[in-house]
Amino acid sequence: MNEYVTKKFENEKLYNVISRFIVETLLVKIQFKKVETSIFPEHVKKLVTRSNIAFLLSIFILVIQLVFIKLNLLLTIFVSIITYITILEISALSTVSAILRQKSKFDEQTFLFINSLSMSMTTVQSLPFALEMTNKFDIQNSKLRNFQKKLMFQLNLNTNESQVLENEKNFFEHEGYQQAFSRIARKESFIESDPYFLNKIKREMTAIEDNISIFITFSSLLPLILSLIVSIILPSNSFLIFLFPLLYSLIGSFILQFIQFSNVGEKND
Amino acid sequence: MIKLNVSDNTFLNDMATLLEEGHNIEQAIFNIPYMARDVLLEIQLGSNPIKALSLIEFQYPVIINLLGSLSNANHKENITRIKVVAALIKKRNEAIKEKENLVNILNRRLKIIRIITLVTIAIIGGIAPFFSGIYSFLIDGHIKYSFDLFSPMSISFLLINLLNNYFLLSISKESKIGLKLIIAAIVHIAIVLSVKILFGGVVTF
Repeated sequence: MNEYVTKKFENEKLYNVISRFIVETLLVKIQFKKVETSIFPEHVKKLVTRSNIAFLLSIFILVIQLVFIKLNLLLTIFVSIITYITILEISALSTVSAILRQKSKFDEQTFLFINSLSMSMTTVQSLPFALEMTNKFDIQNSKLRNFQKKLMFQLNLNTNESQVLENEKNFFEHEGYQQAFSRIARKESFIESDPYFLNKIKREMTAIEDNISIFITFSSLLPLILSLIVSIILPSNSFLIFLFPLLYSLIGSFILQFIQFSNVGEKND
Repeated sequence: MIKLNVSDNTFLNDMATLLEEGHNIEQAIFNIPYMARDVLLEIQLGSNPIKALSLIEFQYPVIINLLGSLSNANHKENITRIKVVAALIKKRNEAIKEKENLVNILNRRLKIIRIITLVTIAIIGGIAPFFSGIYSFLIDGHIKYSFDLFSPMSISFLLINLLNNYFLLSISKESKIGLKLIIAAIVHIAIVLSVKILFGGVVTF
């Protein structure tokens, strides 16, 4: 577990503590299993805020149901809980996909960075100059730009080049990138920096290819059957007719999300 | 600035081949068939070949530095260096191109799934009230097809459709999700209404 997540904030309000507890147990441990090393306090903070909003909204719905529609208490509580979980689920989904998008962007930028670094290296044959030359390629990622500045700073202090490369190679997550980076100083050697970031996109594609039938079954065929059964056994103005497909769609998107993210996660290769 | 109509790595490979054949850099520039006339003119007027080459707008400006540093090393090493840079540029371009292709294919597939499921759920949403008629048939003995856009079932189907759309949009990492969801909702309502009109025409009670 990422240490940022479990660290408590100071002077926390009670409702935040409850929300945080729910977010941590429900989302961080179950939904975010695949991206848990990249969750930061901002993500958890955002989710806690959304959880508070969802809580308020579900209480609002509860009041409306009790006062205006006059349903029984058990059913209203059930509906409110479903609303709460749906909103949490959707915000968790958007957070996970944002994290994955950021990661894939960073992977791509890493490949381009190592590629441009080795290009500059073969051109000028000196690491500090080569690092300076990578400015000619626009590095869009701020993390990589800071890394480049850090390297330049260390080399300006007259530290041993190969030692710097060896120490700093852990910045890259993929082993192939690490190797390519640590070998960059070796003159006249062709640097094989394979585009590993493509593997992830390919894996995502095969995941969708494999699960296409499950996708369509879950999102189109099952609601048909369910609605058929439900509308035959219940009157059309029954509240359960509203509830049942909604519950289904929630569980369905849980399952679809599970299938998708179990194939595409943090792991490389 | 002049642009060559070949990619940077082709130019570098041609350069490497010509240097390998024993030409010097000026002869190599003259022997490249697609070289821009202005560059050749500049060299004929007596300017430095590297300065003349810098008139060309390369995709990767490192090339000028590379060709400029050729006099510092021996011949064989120069050729390997040019070839290495050419290979790196090729790899980079290929990777970027392949990524774009893959992302396009992925998004197209997800779009197809999204549209199919959107239409199917909307059609089911339109037909579903008909099944409620079966219930009233079982209870009262006569079928009635009542349709209301704000009935619990219609709203529930709309929500299912939007949730499904949201899920597919978020895994295809698209932008402007809110706008696309609004469009999906409008399409859903349009399909439901057209199904209702069709049913109203065909099935009369």
